Amino acid sequence: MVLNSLLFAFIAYAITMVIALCVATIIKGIALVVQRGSKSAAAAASKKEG
Amino acid sequence: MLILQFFQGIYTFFLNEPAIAGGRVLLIAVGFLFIYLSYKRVLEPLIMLPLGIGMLAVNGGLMVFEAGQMGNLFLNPLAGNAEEIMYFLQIDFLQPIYTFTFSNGLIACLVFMGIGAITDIDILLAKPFMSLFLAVCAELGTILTLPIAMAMGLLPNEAAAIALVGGADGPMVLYGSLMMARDLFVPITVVAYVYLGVCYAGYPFMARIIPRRLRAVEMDWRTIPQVSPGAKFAFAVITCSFLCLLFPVAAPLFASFFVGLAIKEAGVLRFIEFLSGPLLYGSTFFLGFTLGALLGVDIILNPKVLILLVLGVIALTLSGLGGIAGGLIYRKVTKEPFNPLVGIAAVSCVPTTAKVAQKCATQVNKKAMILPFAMGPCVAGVITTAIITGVYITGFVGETPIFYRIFGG
Repeated sequence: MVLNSLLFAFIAYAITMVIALCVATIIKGIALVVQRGSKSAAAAASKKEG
Repeated sequence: MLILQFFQGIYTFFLNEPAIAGGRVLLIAVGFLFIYLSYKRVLEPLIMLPLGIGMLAVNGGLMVFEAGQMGNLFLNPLAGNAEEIMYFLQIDFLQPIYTFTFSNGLIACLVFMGIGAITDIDILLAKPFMSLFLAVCAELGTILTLPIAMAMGLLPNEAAAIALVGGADGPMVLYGSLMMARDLFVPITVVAYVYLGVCYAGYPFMARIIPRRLRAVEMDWRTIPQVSPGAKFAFAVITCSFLCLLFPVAAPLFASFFVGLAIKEAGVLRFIEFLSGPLLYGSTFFLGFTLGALLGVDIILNPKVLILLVLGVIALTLSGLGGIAGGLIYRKVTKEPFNPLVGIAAVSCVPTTAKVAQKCATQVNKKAMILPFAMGPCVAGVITTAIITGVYITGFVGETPIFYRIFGG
């Protein structure tokens, strides 16, 4: 039973790592989208001015 | 003896068995100790002061009821059926708080809403991989305490509940232990809150494992990129839905934290004021006071409490060591001018561990300003602990828990 719990603990750790990686990727994705959005907004504003 | 019956708190000492009377005296003394240490700011006064007063009041305020039974006018956690609950709701002054906010985990969620509304996620979003890597490393205690607790004789669900202490997040421990080990939720939560206070005093000693020259490394916080409020708001909404999809059993926790965060980032001032003020401090007060009132003598007579005390230390020590190891690995791999003390902040307990990291850095180099960097792993620690809570609840709760489906038994 103790050995099983150790194995389960490692499974839990692996799941946590994968999900944490997904969360970090989500954050990077959001940053990318926001960056593109602000760039295109800036481009649109400069076109209007021109 | 008749005159003593006037003062029933004292009279009941003579009616109690010696072990129970001794236990009451001990708990009253511990209550006084908590109050004193809170007053001196060794323990967190926001939670430990009301807890200490609740503890000494409930153990002092024992009285004899009409049928000759002994009890108090605080609350009865053992009230099971609807009739009993209705009876105690009318008699015991804290019973409404316990029945409506503790037994379903609402109090933990309310605290989490408040925490969400005051949490700064700038560094987490600016440096997500660093923050989450360190947070995962600092979950070492939450992971390894599970098999250690089972080796010490706890049931799998109880072992998982006490292992959550390694996440150093009081509301999470309360919620997780309510879901997984209802019989032990009071001692587990109290162990968590007491040890979180002790963390503040103990981690600086642990930090000395890191060579002095590394503890003195300066980090330039001006290099941290700016994060727009829109990105922070999107993060709160998207991550909330993602984590709720993965772990519906912990969805109330995720929803509570991220709703607070989303409100903060959306700038809804009235709600921010409400969540970060009356709601957070009101629920923290009642959490502490009701926990104290739950600390009756029957709690310490449970032989498992001693094991829980040992496991709490093991969990937090391993998490601290994991955080330090994470900091050293991150420095080695990235070769950035990185202070490994930031790893300690990943043990979560916002913002205590971040402050501890800063304190340790300042001791060796007054110019080392690492607090802004430490807040990222600190907040990431809340997220990783919530994920592990979700994994453990999914693994150990239900008709046939996944743990038993995988391993049998």
